[in-house]
This record gives sequence, structure tokens and C-alpha cells, in this order.
Amino acid sequence: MNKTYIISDYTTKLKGLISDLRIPETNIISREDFTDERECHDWTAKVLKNNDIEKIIIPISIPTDAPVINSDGLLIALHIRLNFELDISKRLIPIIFLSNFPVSKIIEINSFDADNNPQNLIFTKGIYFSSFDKNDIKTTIEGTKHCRQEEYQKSILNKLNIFRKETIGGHDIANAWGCFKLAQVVGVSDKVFELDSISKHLKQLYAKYLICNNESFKTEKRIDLKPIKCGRKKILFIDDKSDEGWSDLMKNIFKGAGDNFVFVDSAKYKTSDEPKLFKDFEGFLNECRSYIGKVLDLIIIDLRLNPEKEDIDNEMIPPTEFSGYKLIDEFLNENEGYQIIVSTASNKIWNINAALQRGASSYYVKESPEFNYSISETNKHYENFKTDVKKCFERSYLFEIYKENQKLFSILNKHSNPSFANEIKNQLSIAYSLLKEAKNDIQFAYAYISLYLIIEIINNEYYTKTNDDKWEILDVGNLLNWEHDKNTSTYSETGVEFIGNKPPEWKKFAGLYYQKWKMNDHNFIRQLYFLITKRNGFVHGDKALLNKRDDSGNYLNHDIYSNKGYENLFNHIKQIIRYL
Amino acid sequence: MILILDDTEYLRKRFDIEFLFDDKYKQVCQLIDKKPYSREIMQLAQNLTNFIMVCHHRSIKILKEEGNNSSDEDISKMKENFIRKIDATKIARIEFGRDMHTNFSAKTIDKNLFYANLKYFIDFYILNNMLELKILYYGENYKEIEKMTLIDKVIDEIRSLDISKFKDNRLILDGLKSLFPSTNPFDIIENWRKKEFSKKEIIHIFNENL
Repeated sequence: MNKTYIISDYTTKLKGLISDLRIPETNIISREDFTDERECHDWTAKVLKNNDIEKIIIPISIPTDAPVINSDGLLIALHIRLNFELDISKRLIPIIFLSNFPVSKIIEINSFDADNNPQNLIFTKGIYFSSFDKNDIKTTIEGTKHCRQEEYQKSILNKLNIFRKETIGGHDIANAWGCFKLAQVVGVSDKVFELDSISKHLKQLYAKYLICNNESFKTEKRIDLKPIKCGRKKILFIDDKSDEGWSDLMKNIFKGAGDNFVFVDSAKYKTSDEPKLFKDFEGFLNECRSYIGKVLDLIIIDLRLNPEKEDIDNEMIPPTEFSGYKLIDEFLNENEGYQIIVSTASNKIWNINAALQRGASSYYVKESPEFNYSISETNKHYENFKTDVKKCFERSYLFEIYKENQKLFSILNKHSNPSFANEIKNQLSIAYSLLKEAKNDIQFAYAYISLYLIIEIINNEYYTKTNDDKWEILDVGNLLNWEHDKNTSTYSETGVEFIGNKPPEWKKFAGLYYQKWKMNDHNFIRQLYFLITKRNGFVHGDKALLNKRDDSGNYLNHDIYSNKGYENLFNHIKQIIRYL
Repeated sequence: MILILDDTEYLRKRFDIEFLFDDKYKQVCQLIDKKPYSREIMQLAQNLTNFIMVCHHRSIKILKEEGNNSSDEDISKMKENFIRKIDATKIARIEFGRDMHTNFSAKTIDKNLFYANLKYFIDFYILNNMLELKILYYGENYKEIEKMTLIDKVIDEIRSLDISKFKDNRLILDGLKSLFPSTNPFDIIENWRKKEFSKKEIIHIFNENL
């Protein structure tokens, strides 16, 4: 009896029983009132951690002098069996229920919580019944056996049937679960679990049931040995659950960014009482919108920012109607170069696809308890996320290029020849979209040669071929034969007009540059020459040219296979358009 | 009429309440399943005599209509005043909420439980023209549960008393009357005494006849 404990409410009935059984004072656990499942979880954890309990006696109906009989003792026992904060050995202590009624009557007459189904516990291993008769109790206690740890899954967990309560959204539990699981591999799980917004959901019986079925949930911890390098990167995080663990977690993931990691604090726009719903969702959205147009290297946006309206089981809301999707659309309408990772608790692929088709760079699916991933799988998801983040950082040049494109459009809109201006604008857009889609070296080269076409468009606009194979520059005269002098690194015309079927594009441009616009930066033309030569090498398959190296052995022209080549050419194109 | 005020989004999808939209139930129960405007609340407050009971969501929010210059504070006070008026008219009132503590005396109830037992409750009202709140709290089996509660106490008495004292114990007599309404409880006790039944055997009889 010395390690047998009893939950007591100090009624006369139990006092008498405790005295008859000679249960020591130290083995009496005072029953407490719980307002919710979390309190019951915390209490059972405290009781079992602080006491060396081998067996526990619980009256099924508690308090024992309740005005109406109940089965709350079963709920307490369920919390013990599913308390993931306890070692399995402590969860499996034999439980002796006390009741004046046989099991059949208890089940027949009581109505049980249809979500938790505590009555199922009765049929699991390690559960015993006794009447309030002291001799019955003594005999039962002597006959109890500890359920073995190997039997936990088969003989207990598999016999329970616990469902998510209708009043607790799947979004809430998935949020808490997903946040905690990710925090585990980031190495901040203890800190995240301390957050009330996380632990309150994970201490509900449904979540506990899932957690106990995923034994690695609490026990394994990892340290992130390769955190994301994000010094001086500007990152924006938008999530309706930013106040429920996610901003803390993301702050840790992006700690290298320091104050450059910003998030929209959803708590400001929610009620302070439970459940914390949006009282000013429009205000929240407006704050999110205030970042549109700002320079950002990465935006992480949750697809559904208003779960009360957008997270209904089996409700087929088109993804384009989700508030997160609309926000992504607004950001991209402002600048298609924004790098956006869409985060979602939804595993519905069509939702994710819609966001990707709109222009999001990648996605991250918040883990849901239903999938019950192992910690290794969670780690893989995290590593994928880090890879995607890195790619987004590497593509942040798209933001600036898009912005520059918009400026160029403004300049071109004022051009006296709208048809000519539109042709250039279209080509800029085509080249940009190729650049945005480029994923390998060939695709980057395609974007490059598409951008180059603007030079040809400009040349074609200003040149006409004369009958005598000369090339007349509009309103200027004939193209002179510009040549590069290696000694002086300058370009000069020989006084002779160019005669020929097709002057090289660089020469035609030099004609415009020197003869029409009266410019004199020889280096500009020299650089343009190399940029055009690179294009020619790719288009004509001139491997020798493409693989040319400098004295240090570095490839001179391989930047055509990356965004660097495009950016170099674009710098020239920007300048050229300003001359028009 | 029974009035239910619940502004939970997508209530019909979350809970099994389709029956409330049948004519049979619409005649006895009015459901307002959206956030009410202040004018609606004022009208309800003026017509409270139409209702026999009000069940409301703990966190119901009252909206301000266009042109209404009341402050937000006035609007939230309106809710308190409305509740106060219901209590003043002595109409039955139940407050339900997500994970709310179910307490019969305090007339608060967990929302899941409220909707799980609502149909039984209203069916009883339609049949008997009487509100039986115990159905909301304990389910349609509430009478069996009440009987079980009584017998539970009776069994405790049996354990603690000598059989010679049974006939003087009100609880034991009531328990016997509830299980054997057509038999004199004193005769039953006398029969036990003659047959020298043990307490265990007597308790078994109670369980068998529950």
C-alpha cells in the first residue's frame, strides 16, 4: 500500500475508506476543479512527477458527493495515460476505478463525451474496477499488474478513439503542432512549448492522443547546425498565427537578420479573450499592405489569414479567394520580383498550385498531426525550407530589375513613337519573365538573348539601308565605319561610310551613340561590344568564344548562364533607353 | 419560444443543427446565427415576453449599424444590459461557450455539449410544453442518471449502516421506492432481514434492478 495513492475529495465516504485502507496522508492527492483540459493535463503531470506512485485509485464519479453522478474520473485517467510530459512508465501505472456500479451499468446509463470517448479506456490494459468495499479494494490492488511499455501502443492507444472537438479548429491544433514540430528541429522546442498559445492546444486530449502515437514528438531534440545565413536580408513574415508561436519561431530561424526580420503582429488585431479571433481583420490586412513596394528579400505569407472564414472542413473555397492569396497577388502586382514563400496548414495541392501559378516562389506546408511525421521527416522539410529560402535570397535581384523596368516603362510611355516604345516594353517584359522562370544555365542564356533583342529593335528603328548598300541613320546621315583602336582603347571612325550588306549590331549602335546622340564614353561601347559578342557566341554555338578565359583562368563569358549576365546587359539597356 | 443567439461562423457546418430549420422546430425555437445589430438586440429586449428561454454564446458580438453614432463601449454595454434584462424578467438563461465549464447551478455549459443535447431538449419541450434543463446538461438519459445518482447514495448508506437501521433511513426507502414503486419498501427490507442477505447481495439487487 505504501506506493498506492488515492485521489480524494475529502467527503465522509472517502475519508472513511482511506482510514479503513490505512492509506498514509502523504498518499492522498487532493482533487481539484479543472476549467479545461489543459488544467487537467498540467495537474496530472504535476501529481505524477512529484510523487512516486505505483498504483492510483480514482473514483469514477468525482466529486463523490456531486449532485449528479458523472464519469470525470475516466477523464483524469485518460489524461494520465496520454500525458506525453511523463515517462511512459509513469503513464502506465495501474489505475483502480471505484464505483458502486458494475462496468455494464456505467456504460449503459452514462452519456459520455462523444469526442473523447473516455469509456474506451475501460477496455484497455492496466485498468481495474472495484466497489467502495475496502476488502474488494485490497484484493483488486493486490491483483494489479503494470502494463508493459511495449504494450502501450497496441493495448492502450489503439483502443482509444479521440476526435477533434468541433469547437476547436483543426487549424488551431495544426498550428500548434506544426509550430512545435518545426521548433524541435530548429532547436527551440522547449522555448516554444512554454508559449501558452502552443501548449494549450497540445494539452487537449485530441492532440495528446496524436502526440502519444508519435513518440518522437517530445523526446527527440535537434540542434540546427546550419542556420540560415541572412545577415542584412530583409524578411517579412505574415501569418494570422504570428501571435501563437510562429513569430517567435521564425525570429529564431532568421536570427541572423536581426531587426531586418519583421512580422505583422496579429495579436494587435485580435480579441484578448479566448478564443482569440480577429476583431479588426481589415486593420491587420492594411498593416500587411503597408509593406507593399518596400524593398524585401523574402516574404513568407500564410495562405489563409482568416481561418474563421476560410478554414471550414470540406468547404470548397477557391484558393483565389483566400486572403493570403489576395495579399500575394497585391504584392506581386506591385512588383513581380518579390520572392514569396507561401506557408499553409493545408495539404490541398490545388491551393498551393494556385499560389505558385500566381508567382509565389515556393511553399512550406505546416505539419499537421494527421500525418504524424517522424522527426527525421520534419528535419527534411526544414532543410527543404532552408534551401528554398536560400534560392529566394539568390533571386532577390528580380525585385530591383522589375522596379527598374517600371521606371523604363514610364520613360518609354513619353516617347513620341508609341509603336516603337511598345515594342521595347514588350521585349523588356518577355525578357523579364524568362529571367524570372530561369532555373538552369540555358534558361538564363535565353533570357539574356531575349533582352539583347532590344538593341536590334532600336537599331532597326533608326536605320534604313540605301540603294548603294549604305546605312542611313534617321535624321543624321550614313553610318560611318567605327573601329576600335587597341592602343588608345577608343573608337574612331575612319572618315569612311560603312558599305555592306549587314553591319554588326554593335557597329550600328556605335553609329547611333556617337553620331546621333553625340556621346563619347568609349568604354560604354567597348562593354556593349563584349555583351553582344557573348550573345553571338551562344546563338551561333561558338564554344571557343563562350569558354574563353582570362589570364587568371576565369571564364569571361559564362555569366551569360546566370543572372549576372542579364544584369550586366540590363545596366546597358537601361542607359540606352534613356538616350532614346 | 426558445431563443438561441450564436454568431459562430459556419454554425450549420460545425454542428448538427439542421433540425432547427424544420417548421416543427421553427415554431418553438428562434435561432439567430449571425452577429446581431444593436437595433435587433433592442427589439429582442423589448419583446422578451415572447420567449421562455434565452441561450446565448458567451462571446456574442453586437454590431453597430450605419448611422449609429454610439461608441463601441456603449455597444458592448448593450450586451450586458440585455443579459441583465433577461435575468430581471426571470426567463431561463443559458450561456454556452467553447470549452466553457459545464455547471448546472451556474447555468453555463460547454458549447459542444449544448448542441449535442439540444434536439432532445427541444423535443421534450414540444412534447411536454416544459423546459427540462437537465436534458441539456445530462442528455436524454437524465432520469436514469438521476436514478443512478440516488442509488449511488443509497448504496453508500447500505455500506455504512446495519440492516436493522435501514427502515429508518429516508434515502434507502426512497431508493427502494424508485426501483420497486409497486412494493412496500419496508416489506423488501424485512424480506432481506429474514433471508439474512449480506450487504453485497443487497447492493447486487440494486444494481440488477437499476
